[in-house]
Formats: sequence, structure tokens, C-alpha cells
Amino acid sequence: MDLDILHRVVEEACRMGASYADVRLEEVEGVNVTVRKGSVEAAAVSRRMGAGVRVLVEGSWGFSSTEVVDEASLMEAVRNAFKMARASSTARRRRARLAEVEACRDRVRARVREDPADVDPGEKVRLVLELDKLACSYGDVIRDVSIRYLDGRDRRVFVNSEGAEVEVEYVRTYLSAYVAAGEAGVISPAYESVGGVRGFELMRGDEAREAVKAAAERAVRLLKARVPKGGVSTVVLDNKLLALIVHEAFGHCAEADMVLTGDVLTGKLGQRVASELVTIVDDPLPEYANGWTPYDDEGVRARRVTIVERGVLREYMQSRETAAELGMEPTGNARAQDYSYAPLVRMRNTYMLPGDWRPEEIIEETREGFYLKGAMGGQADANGDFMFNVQEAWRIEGGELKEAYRGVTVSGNALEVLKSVDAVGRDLKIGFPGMCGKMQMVPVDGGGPHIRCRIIVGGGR
Amino acid sequence: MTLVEEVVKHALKLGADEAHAVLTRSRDFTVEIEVDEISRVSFIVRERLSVAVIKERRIAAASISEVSREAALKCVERAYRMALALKPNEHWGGLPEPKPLPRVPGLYDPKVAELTAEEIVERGKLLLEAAHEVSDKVAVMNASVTCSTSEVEAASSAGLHAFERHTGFWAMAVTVAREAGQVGSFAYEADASRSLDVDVEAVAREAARKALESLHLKPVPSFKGTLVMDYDFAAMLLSSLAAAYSGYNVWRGSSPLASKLGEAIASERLTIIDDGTLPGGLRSSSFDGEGSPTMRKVVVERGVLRTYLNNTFTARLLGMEPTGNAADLISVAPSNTIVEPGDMSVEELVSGVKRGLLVSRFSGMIRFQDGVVSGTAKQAFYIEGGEKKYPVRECMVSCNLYELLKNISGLSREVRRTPYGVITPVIRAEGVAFVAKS
Repeated sequence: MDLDILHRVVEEACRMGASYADVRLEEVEGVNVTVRKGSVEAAAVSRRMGAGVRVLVEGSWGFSSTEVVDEASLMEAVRNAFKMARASSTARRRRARLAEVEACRDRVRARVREDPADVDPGEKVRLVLELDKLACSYGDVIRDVSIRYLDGRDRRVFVNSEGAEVEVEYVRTYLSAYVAAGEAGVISPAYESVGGVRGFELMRGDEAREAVKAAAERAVRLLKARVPKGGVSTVVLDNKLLALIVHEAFGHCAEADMVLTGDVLTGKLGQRVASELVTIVDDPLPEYANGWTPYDDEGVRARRVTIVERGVLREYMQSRETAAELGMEPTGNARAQDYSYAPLVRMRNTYMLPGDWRPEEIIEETREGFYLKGAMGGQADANGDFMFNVQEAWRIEGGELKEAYRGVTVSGNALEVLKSVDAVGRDLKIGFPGMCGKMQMVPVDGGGPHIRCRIIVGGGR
Repeated sequence: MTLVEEVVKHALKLGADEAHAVLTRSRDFTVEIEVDEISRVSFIVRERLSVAVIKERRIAAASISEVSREAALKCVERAYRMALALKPNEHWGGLPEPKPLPRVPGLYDPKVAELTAEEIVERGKLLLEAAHEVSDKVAVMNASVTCSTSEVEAASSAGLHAFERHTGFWAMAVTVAREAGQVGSFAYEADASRSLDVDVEAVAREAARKALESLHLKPVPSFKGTLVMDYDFAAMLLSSLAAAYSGYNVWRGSSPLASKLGEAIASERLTIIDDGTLPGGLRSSSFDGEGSPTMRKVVVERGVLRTYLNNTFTARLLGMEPTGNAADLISVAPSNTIVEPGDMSVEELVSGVKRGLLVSRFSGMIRFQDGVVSGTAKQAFYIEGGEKKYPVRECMVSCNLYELLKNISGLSREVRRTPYGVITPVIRAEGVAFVAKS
């Protein structure tokens, strides 16, 4: 599509009386293949295109989206967005304002080695079938397998009434493996996933195979595992579980829209919120990570946000609107699921920086506790309270790993847990792709090293 | 010939053995509230064409937005090319023959379809005001009111051609209470309907009340006792259980309810019905994701497992009949899940508890595969000697889903609809471990 049309759209909005307008045009296409025990259960190609128009009229927002993207439909979307803004103007008390930013003009493409769009669908199916076969090779105890491959291209063009014109093209590839082992009435499920802003090279190397093997081995291993008794314990967290806690329990509380509601980090800039071993950032990089965001969905060039520096709260993540509200600067954290949603303050790649312990050393130096690995979802609250499902737990006694446990959960309060951190590993790992759901789904990533802290360990039966 | 019929015809012309196409169109008005302020009003138009083509048991799908005739025909071609790249699904037994569809009343309310942006904004205002009237300690973190109109048209090479219109009206609110530097837990409340009978102010008041209750929490020691599950928690538990009686999960070997038909899997107090024909039900429709008629069936009858939920694919594999629960040609989904009410009031359920918790929100996992229930009780009250004592801080609930079902000791007379398509009473069960932060 001719990008001049988008400029005419925002001009039209301003002519109608909008003080600001932006339009996001998006084209998404992708392939997914799901294989279960030798059968291709789903194989689908999808293609979507649409545009969302956002207008600010006398301090009130109106938004409208359409999936017909010719000039006439976009002009109709402008009129609808304008009508929406007018409808809410009497109800709004505070006028929305936007922090000043440079009007960027740029074009960025994800750099991947092998574009999945160039790979024959038959090749994708063949590799997924091979991985399914690998999972099934773990014996008769394997009851269920689901290997899911996904790839997608997402081209986003942003134009606003201040002259910005930014085009970002994302390419993402993922593989996930669900394996359930069963024996004597016990069913033990396990799950692994890999991917991010990556090309089909993800499927060529060992990474996808290793993920499938890890899921299958864990499902089998935990068949005979017991469920632990609950209580507060010293624990060593692996990179993946730490990534989830940092994102869900802590990161959300540092999103400026949450801060404005009065969450647990409101008014705490400059205060100690974690052990001095803890530094946490939200980063538009690295480029391979699932949350890679060179420009956000307000056309703002994204920068790294140092949320916690040596235990002290330093910064919040911002959109242009929250930045204006708080008198701070935008950080490039405004992201939208797609053209049919207006952007919200969201994380990108959130992780804890490494320390100087060797990961093995942390376990060796732990007299009694648990080594907790992997995560399978959970929830967190505005006061920092969280609960996560752990994939696998090992009891530590005298610096050694003893027996494994299944069905383990951890809970606690993010601030208390981060204050209790007394060892931080040197093994920084980023690359735990996920979809974060805060009203809308956006791709995020995270990570960190191994750490040691105190947490509540619980178990179902 | 309509576009979906033309799409099916085009697939056959390309060489497909079978084809199935669904076209959905929807329009949503939403007013969103963020941080105590109406933040945005949106008008969203969506259109989606999904096509499945089958060639020698190879099943592939394609979907597009922006449904022009030309794009639709190209979409079929992409699906067909994808099918040729696959290997056959040996379990595939063919598309279902069309059957007469039931008449399901209450799916479309013109009053919802005719709402204007101003009227939706007005409801958003009412929601916000109602929350603030409860207490100035309560902030509405996030809330929305949405009205939606949609239509779905399906056709298949087996002769299916069906059309239906739906409306939906949703209100939800997430609130947080603050007092003297203390921040409570998120409190969530929502309601949804096919018609306008959602009281947005009641949703706001309930969310605000729950937020206030989550201030001033007291710890409880670890103990084993009675769990009284409020409507939302009960609905969450039942949704997880529905995955266990899905014919798809049974066939896959992921469900422990495989080979349990005719056996008691729960207390005889429990009867669960799956009903896709419930008048005005949120998950009601006259046809399911493969175009088969929906129906009402008793899944658990006085504790005994009577059926699994099936589409044509899983029914054939399990030697059963389809139950109108196709999510698509392969997988299965519950429709409206209805639990028969019990014979006690909520007060009576509580007064019979020696020691336990009344939990309205549960944050954690309920895993149907092995029955692990583990997580944190939110907006929970400690009960002792039959009395609600105080709201509880940070307490974990730990039990097994399948043991819990057998230990149900009472259900309330009052039932509520939840926005997840579950209609349930309050459910009480014994022998649950509560693990405190000690």
C-alpha cells in the first residue's frame, strides 16, 4: 500500500479537529503445524491485514480499526475514531496528553538467517513429524505428545500527525513440545518451548531437538516423583523460573500505567526494593529475543529501562501518555497486540543482570532447600504477590541434589523474595519466549542467571 | 450461491475430496477504563474466513481477514497447497452429514445490536461511579464494557449450510484498594450476557467490595479442613474438569477419566450438564464448529460419569456419538457447563464448617491430567465453628481434583452464571490442605 494514504488519513483527522492522530497498518502472515503421535492434527496458513486509527480530540481518545485497508475504509475509520472520541469527551475528567518525542522516520527488518517464508511447507511438516517421533521414542509410558511449530511475519507501519513514519518487520519462529507420560494411574505432563525473533535456523540445529528431549525426559522422570510438603524454604531458581518471577511479579508493577493505579512500586523511586545483588532491566534487545522492539507502537525509538540498579528502584516503563502524566520521559514500551487494539505500557525483554557465582557453586553452598526448574504459568498481583507452577523441583541436602518432585508451586511477594536474594549466578540466559496477556497478548522474553532466595514452596497431590 | 458455498465449491474444483468453510463477521463497541478514567472508546470491525480442505485424509486450513471474493479463492488455494505437503491423518473419517439444527432462542438481542457509542460510554461512566461510591480507597485499575454483534455462516462439501447471528454484552472490572500505604490484591468481577441484562453497577460494586476485603488480611496457620468454593473458583474448577471429559483428551490418553464411563467419579451430590442449546446461553448456538447440531447432555449424573464431549472425529475414534461439541474438525470444546443446584443456602454451607476457607478467587493451577490443584487463595475468608472470621493473607490451597470431587459435601441452592460459560452453585468439599506462610 502507498504510505501517502496513511499520511492523508492522519491529516484528515487533524482537519476534523484532532490534536493528534496516528495510524498503524499491519500485515501478518504465518504457518502453524501441530503433530500428535504421528498424525498431523493441524496445518494452517493464515493471513491478516488491518489498520487501527487513534485520535486525540480535546484530551479524549477515540480508536477504530478496520480490516479493509483501502483509502475509503481508512477515512471511514478516522470518522469512527473521531465519533468515539467525541462520545467520551463529556465523561473524561483528566485530559490525556502526550510527552514530546522526536518524530522518527525509519525502516527496520528483523535479521534472521533463514526466512521461514522461503521454506517449503512440506519441509516444516517433515521436521515436526521427526520431533514428534523423537518424543514418542521414550517408550510405552508416553501417552500423549503435541509438537507445535509456528512461524510468522508481522509488518507494522506507524504514521502519526507529527510526521513520524516507522516501519518494522518482525519474523518469529517457535517450537513447543507437550509430552505426557502415564503409568499406574499417574499422568505426568511436561512442556518446553523455544523461539523468538528467529528464522527457520531454529529448526535446523539442536535447539528444537533438545527442547523436545527435555520435555519427554522430564515427563518420564517425574512419573515416580512425589509432591513436596509446603512451607517457606531456601531455594535456588533456574534462569527460566527467575525470568517468570521478574516479569510477572515485579515487572508489571514497574509499568507506569500500573504505577499510576498505586501499585507496590508507586512512589518508591530511589528506594531500596531488592537485595543489592539485584539489577533488573527491560530491554528492547537482544535482537533474537521474542520481545525485540526497535520502535514501539507509538513510533518511539525504544531504549533500555534500568528498573532496579543494585537493589534501588530507578525507572518505570512508559508510554507517551504515562510519561506526560508522571513528568518523565517515554521509553518505547507502548505496545499493541495488533491493529485492532490501542497500545498499552508493556514489557519487552525483562531480565536480571548476572552476578559472580558459578551456578553449581550456589547449589553446593546450600545446606537445605530446593532447586526449582522451569515454569508453566501462574499469576501475580498489584501488591507483588505471586504464584507460579514449577516444572520440576529437586530437594537439596548438604549441597547435593537429592530426589525430584512434581506438581510444585511457588508463591510469595516479589519484593520480599528479591530482598532475600543472597547469591546471583554469572550465567545470564535470555531466551524464554512467551506471550504476555495484559488485556492484549504481546510477545515478550526474559531471563537472568541462577539465583538463591527464600520463597514459599507448595505442592498439590 | 454465497461466498462460503463458492469457497467450498472452489476447493472441490481444485481437487479436494472435502471442504469446510466458516465466515464470521463482528462489530464491537468498547469503552475502556484505565486508572479511574475513561481512557478510550473503540469501534472494531473484524472479518474472518477459515477454510479446511481435505485431500486423501490430509487436512489443512487457511484463514484470512479482508474477505473479498478474490482473496477467498486464493485462501482456498493456499489451504490446498498446504494439504498436498502433509501426510495423511489415518484417523480421519470424513466430514459429518448435515442434520436438522435445533432452534436456540435468545442468541441475538436487537437492543444490544442497536446500542450507540454514547450509550456504551454512559454505561462505562456508571460502572466507574458505582465503584467509587463504595469507597474512595478503591481504584478501578482496568474496566471495560463491550457490546458485540456477530454473524457466522458455515458450509461444507457434505451439504452443510448454516447461518446464525449472535449478540454479546460484557462488563468487567479490576479494582485495587489502598489504605495507609498498603495495597490489596487485584479484585476481579465480570458478567456477560447475550442481552442487556448485565448490571454494570453491580459488577463495579462487587469488584470494589472484594478489593476492600483484601486489605487488612490476617495469616492463618497451616491446617487441613473444608474448602468452600465461591462461584468464580467453582467455575474455574469445572472448566478444568471439562478438559478431562473432552473426548479429544480421552482419546489422546491425557485424561484420567478414560475408561471411567459408568463409574462414580464424584460425590452423588454432583450433576453436570453440558448444554449448547441453553436459551440465551453465552456458549449456546444451534451448530458447533463442524456444523453439527448442539444438544443438551448429562455428563456427570449424581456423581457417575455418563458421557464424554465429542465431535464427529473423536466420537468415531471412541465408538460414541457426536455431542455437538466440535471446536473445529479435530478438537472438542465444552458449551455451557451447568451444575445442578444443591439444597443449602450459602450461609448453611458455611455454618456447617468446623474449620476451613471460603475462597472466591484462586490463583494457581488445576491440572486435569494428574488432578494437581495447587495455588493461592485470593479474597478468602477463614471459617471456624461455622462462622466467617476474617480475610486471609497468602494461603496456599493444595489438593487433588479427583479426590475433591468425591469429597463434595454440599452445594448451594443459588446458582450464578459466570462469564466463562459456567453456571454453578457454591461448592463445598472436605479434606483440603491449606498451607500458610509460616
